[in-house]
Amino acid sequence: MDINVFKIRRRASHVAFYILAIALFIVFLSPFIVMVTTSFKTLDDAFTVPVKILPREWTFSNYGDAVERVPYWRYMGNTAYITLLSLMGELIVVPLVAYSLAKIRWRGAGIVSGLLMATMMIPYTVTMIPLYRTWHAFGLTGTYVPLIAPHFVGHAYYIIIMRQFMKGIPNSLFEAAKIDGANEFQRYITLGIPLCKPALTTVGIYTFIAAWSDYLAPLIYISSKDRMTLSLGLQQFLNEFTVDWTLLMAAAVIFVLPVVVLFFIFQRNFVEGVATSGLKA
Amino acid sequence: MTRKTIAILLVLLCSLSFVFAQGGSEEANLTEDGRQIVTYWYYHKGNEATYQENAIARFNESQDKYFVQGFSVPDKQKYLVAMASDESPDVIALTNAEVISYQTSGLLEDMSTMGEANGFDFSIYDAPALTANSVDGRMYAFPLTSVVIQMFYNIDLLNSIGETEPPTTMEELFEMAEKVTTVDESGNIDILGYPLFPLASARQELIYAFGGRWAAEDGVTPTANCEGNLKSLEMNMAFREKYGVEQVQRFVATGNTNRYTPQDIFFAGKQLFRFDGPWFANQIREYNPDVNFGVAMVPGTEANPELLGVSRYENTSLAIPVVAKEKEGAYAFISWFVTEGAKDFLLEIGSLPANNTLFDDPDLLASNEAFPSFMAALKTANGIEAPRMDYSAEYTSLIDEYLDYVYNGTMTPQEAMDELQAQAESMAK
Amino acid sequence: MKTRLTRDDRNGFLFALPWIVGFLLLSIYPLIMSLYYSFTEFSFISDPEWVGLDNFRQLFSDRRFYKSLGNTCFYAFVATPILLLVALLLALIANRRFALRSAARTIFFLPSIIPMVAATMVWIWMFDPTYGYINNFLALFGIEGPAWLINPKTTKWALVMMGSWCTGTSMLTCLAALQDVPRSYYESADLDGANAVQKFFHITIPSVAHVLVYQAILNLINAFQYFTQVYVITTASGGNTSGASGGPENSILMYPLYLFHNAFVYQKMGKASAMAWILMIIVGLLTIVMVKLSNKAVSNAGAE
Repeated sequence: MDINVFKIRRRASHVAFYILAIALFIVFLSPFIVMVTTSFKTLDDAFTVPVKILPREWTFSNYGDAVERVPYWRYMGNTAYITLLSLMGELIVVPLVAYSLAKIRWRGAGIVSGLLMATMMIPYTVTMIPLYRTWHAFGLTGTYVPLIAPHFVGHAYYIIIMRQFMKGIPNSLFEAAKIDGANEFQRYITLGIPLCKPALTTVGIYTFIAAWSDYLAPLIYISSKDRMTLSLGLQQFLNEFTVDWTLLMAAAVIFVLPVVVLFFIFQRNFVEGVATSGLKA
Repeated sequence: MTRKTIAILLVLLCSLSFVFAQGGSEEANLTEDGRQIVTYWYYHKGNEATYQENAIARFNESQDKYFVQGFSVPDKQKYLVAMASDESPDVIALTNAEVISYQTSGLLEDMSTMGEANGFDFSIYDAPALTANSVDGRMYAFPLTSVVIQMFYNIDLLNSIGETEPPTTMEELFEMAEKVTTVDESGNIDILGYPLFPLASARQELIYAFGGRWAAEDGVTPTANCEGNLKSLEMNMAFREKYGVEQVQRFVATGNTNRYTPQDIFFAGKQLFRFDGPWFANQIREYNPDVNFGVAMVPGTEANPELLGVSRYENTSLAIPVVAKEKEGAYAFISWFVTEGAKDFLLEIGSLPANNTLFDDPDLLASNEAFPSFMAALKTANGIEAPRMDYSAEYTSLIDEYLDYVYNGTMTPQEAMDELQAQAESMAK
Repeated sequence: MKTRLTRDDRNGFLFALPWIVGFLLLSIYPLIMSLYYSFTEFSFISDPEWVGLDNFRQLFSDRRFYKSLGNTCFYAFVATPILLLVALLLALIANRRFALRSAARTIFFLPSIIPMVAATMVWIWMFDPTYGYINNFLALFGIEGPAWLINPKTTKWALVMMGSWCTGTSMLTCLAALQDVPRSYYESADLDGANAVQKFFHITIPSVAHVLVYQAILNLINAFQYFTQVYVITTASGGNTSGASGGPENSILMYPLYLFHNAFVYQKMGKASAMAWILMIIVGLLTIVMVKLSNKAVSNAGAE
């Protein structure tokens, strides 16, 4: 075959690939584009046919109105509070449990590992009603306790991620410390924790995102207006009959922004976390 | 960089959360000047929430014993969650249908007893308002507003087909609707004649106009496949099939998105007949005062002309949950709101009174061009109350589902209503 | 056989204690209670009352129970494979060496971290028949898009589109697996004169098969718990007064949504618990079947 034809065909397929990729980029980014541009549109502007992507006149008032319509800063404070405590819970408990499974040889380890996988299979709908009644019996519905407490026992998925990571740390390090007379807890604190920092970061951001975005638990447990979270607050813009789409989008941008920023800072950890947990489980 | 950012983020979060969490932790039951706090949840939003707050402010000024705090809680599932937990509001606003369904679970305080003990004048309520909020002869809420639906029509559109008077029977209405409905070159509906939108009126007034009912007189026997329901749906489908089931659905969907916005299809001159409430006149004034509209009664049929003006009868009512803590204060607020406090609120929100002393109020009648005819309909007291079986919430959602089957042409009216009836009867067992 | 507990036994147990306590209180106890509740009936404020098999009897004669199960099965067995395929295709693009590779990874993954409520609301707006991007885009080609969330024939496909946008996690997993495939495989295939399609089916697919199966199991379990999106969509659509909508013709009344309606709207906690246990059994059986099948498939692939 003529080498030139080969080259041209290669180039053509190359160009086609670029076009495909860029088209996909646009498709995947369009919801973000819609969200951001609509948040700067006037109501009239949002309701034009055919749709104009950019606002005819940029208005910033949607942001002001959105945070005025619902006590949005308060909701953000509530959400941050819940997120922070959840983060604390997972970061304390997850490495502890993972360490016992990865670095301590004890008789229950096998059972616990098996049960970890099993709990990931239990649909939340099964435990939802009994848990609701239990919290209710303790008078804790309406408080943040039912939202935060589950994070203080460690999420099975995060424990698995952490265990995989810990298994990768050479045992010789711990044995050396043992010879030096350090007990199990000292070894965990001085060696285990510092060496797991990348995995801790991964678990941290996963927890952050999960707690920040949680919808079902606040929906069921939180009723008072003072304690609502952002995900519930956002729904207040969905009226029964009319939706203030421009305000809603502004509110959504405020809601989403912290997560997106976090993602860009810790992009690498996301990839690592997904890869280790997905492949080796 | 990573460690630094984590630290910064955490510090930010900490400070944020402590600033905001403080307020949420402790809620005193007394105001600074020693007044008892009464919490009041209503489902209104936006402007309507503002009118609620104005009313609350007037109450708080009127006396010095209680202080009402209002919250807009549009998601009524939250009411239930709160009543089940220890955070029940003292007063809730809800529809009369919800009063019945809440009381089936024993959630509400007996207002008849409370009213009698406090010398409440029950004669301000006519029979429909009394029965709509009663279970076994006891009232469980005091109605604040009434809802009846009438027919708004676009005079310019009506004139464009050579008519001057609105229809009084559904047959006439159908004829006019056909004449006015226009379709563009690609088959899309441009102007809609038949009042298929809003969906709630299509489920109620458009059914009632044919003598159709979802429940028998007793309120608990389902009558989904009664003759009136079928007749209504047959005419409904005749119209849909003429202009294309898909096209009509799409037009209705657009109508739904734009409902009560400046782009509402009625304000845009794309709808001839609209079954809606009196507040709709306020909306027209606000969004498009140029619309040349009239108000008439919902038509009857040739066979049953006496059904002219038939409509749902609903209330927004005020009730006290049994688990409320401040029942005295709650009662004080409710009894004020439905009497002295009602007029100012109704003037702002554009709703009809439940209190019959306001039926002839000149200020109310003058405030809204649609009020005189709505008030007349209210006085005839032939509104239809929603079904009140103990499975009515499920029944309503079943009705929605089966109407969808009919509208989309998935089932014939007869098939759909028969099956709906069978489902409802199986729930009654 | 009995031996004394070693120090390691004690330490291991103590380290794992928080999770063990949580497991007993937040998983095992509710699991048992839920089974008990499924034979009782109660509301928010009443106490459970034994009704025997009534709840199950009611469910098996309830058309909407089957409808919701059918809807969920659609999502599990039609949507999930499609989404997995999308994830694999995206991973292939993101794995190719080209200038925009890292951009591709970011862009394809980003949607899956967006809070579901916010993402769903944006999509509702995208699906609007008149003002939505999707139909406006189709209109450029003279295609008239359907009323996505109004027409019962398209609602489920709208969910599939939304889901395809959020396949980032599966995409990343596939990507990681693709990167583990040794380049030498492809090079030797090149020498044998294999074309791209052959390479895809003989090298790429077998090398990522174990990951795909694992993802399929996870996604299947998740599909049976699909809730937030449909809850937001159905509460957003106007015109419904019952407070418990399942979309047009209940076409997106997913099993967990109907369960939620039963528990928190109709206040039939016992019936909802019965539904939960039925779901639990279905998911359990499915997982066992999938794991068995995948073990077989993987060992077959290994034997080749």
